[in-house]
Amino acid sequence: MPAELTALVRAAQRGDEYAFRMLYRELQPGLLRYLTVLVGPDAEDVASETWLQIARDLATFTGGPGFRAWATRVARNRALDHLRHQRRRPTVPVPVETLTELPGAEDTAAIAAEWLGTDSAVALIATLPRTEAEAVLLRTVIGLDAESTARVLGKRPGAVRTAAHRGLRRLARVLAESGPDGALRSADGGPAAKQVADVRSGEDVEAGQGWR
Amino acid sequence: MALREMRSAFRRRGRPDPKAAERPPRPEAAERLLDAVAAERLLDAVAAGVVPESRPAPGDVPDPLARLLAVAAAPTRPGELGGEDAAVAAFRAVRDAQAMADPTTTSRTTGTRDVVPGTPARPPARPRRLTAGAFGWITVVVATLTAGVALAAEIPALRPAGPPPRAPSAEADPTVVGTPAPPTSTPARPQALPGTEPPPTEPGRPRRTPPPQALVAQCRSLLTTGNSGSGPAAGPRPSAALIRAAGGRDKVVDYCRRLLANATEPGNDEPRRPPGKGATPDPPGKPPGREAAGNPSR
Repeated sequence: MPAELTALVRAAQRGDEYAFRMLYRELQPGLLRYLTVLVGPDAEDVASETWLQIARDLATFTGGPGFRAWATRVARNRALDHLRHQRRRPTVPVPVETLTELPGAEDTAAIAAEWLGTDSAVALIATLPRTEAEAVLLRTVIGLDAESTARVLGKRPGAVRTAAHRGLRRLARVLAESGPDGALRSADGGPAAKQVADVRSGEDVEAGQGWR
Repeated sequence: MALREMRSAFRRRGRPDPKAAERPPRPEAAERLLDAVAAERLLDAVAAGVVPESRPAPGDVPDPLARLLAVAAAPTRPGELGGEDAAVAAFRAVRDAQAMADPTTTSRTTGTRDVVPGTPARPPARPRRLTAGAFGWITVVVATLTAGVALAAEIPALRPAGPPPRAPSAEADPTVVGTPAPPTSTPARPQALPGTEPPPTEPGRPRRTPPPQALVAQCRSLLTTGNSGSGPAAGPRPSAALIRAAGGRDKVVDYCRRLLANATEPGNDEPRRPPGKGATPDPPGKPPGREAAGNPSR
């Protein structure tokens, strides 16, 4: 609800603590999942830094690109700082082995609710090349449109769309090839884990040769 | 097939990808791949929380993908809001600091460096300093929270200032016994103003240091009365504060003896370490005293 969000931002800028709390509840889950893709297990720490900075800089927010995008940008900058500071490359935050802990889905109809937890879903998205993963997450989990996503990522909207589509295709391929019911039943190095590994090894190169 | 369509769509957007176009689509996966229009529709649907319940159209959106995205964008889970209070505390601290520093403007915030395009231009980002600043704020928040907790812990004990040595001050907290009552006009809101000069000591700390005189006085009366009678238990009942400080009712006498011995030593009549830290002033030469002190305030 953009109108509600705007009202909350205004109230928080006037010093309304409750409004700030509501902003946190609204944005934090998405930011945390996004940060998980960027910095893995350090996501909570970076999220804390993010909110400290949001608290500090809230008064400077003028409403331009939308608060959601603004906060996401802050989170991303914090994450990139974090990565630079750690001098390490972003890695798959949740190991693929986690996927093997998924319960076997007896009932195909219940797959959506049961086989895949949020962590596993985010982890699977995180196996994409980073720009694709970011584009997919910003558009779905954070809920930004292509233009806002482009601003956050510092790319053109067309490039962001392309990245998101590529990411979706890659995910669809992994899911499609992991079983007729699409379940990520990958116990003991099952199809999903193998496919994810394939995506990581081979398709990254493909992405690298693409529009980037 | 879908791949080709999508690639041509990409080219229409002005991003030619000749290498990709040369690659043949994977036949086994091509059926399930979604085209650009379907991808956009899916992204929007997930973002809006409207997840396609089933396959909308043949060859359109693969169900597992929609489910995957929907699960990734699932509503808030309990563990994800763990930092809420800390974030709100940071907000409060910043707000109060800014209000204190400059009640009319927000000029203090002009030092921000993270800028989203569309906001007024600012100096280029300087990540290092920013990170340092963030950690500084974490420190501020921790200090603020600590101060708040300390203050809150003390508020119920504000009523009886200066405990009479023999009075049955059962609820007197050892950490505040004999403490001059803080001004009641001070609200529970943390007063640590991080942006301004931080106070040399944390605001809540000095008041938490227990002045031992009250305990010493209690001990003195307890031991003198108790020793003259038939054991310490027959004397005046030790206050709850004293029991807590000693680490237990049966340790009161030991504790008092050590306390008095320590208090009467010249230049050492004011033990500096609070009993709550588990380090009751031990007279030299009494090693087993430490275990008697325990961790009374917890």
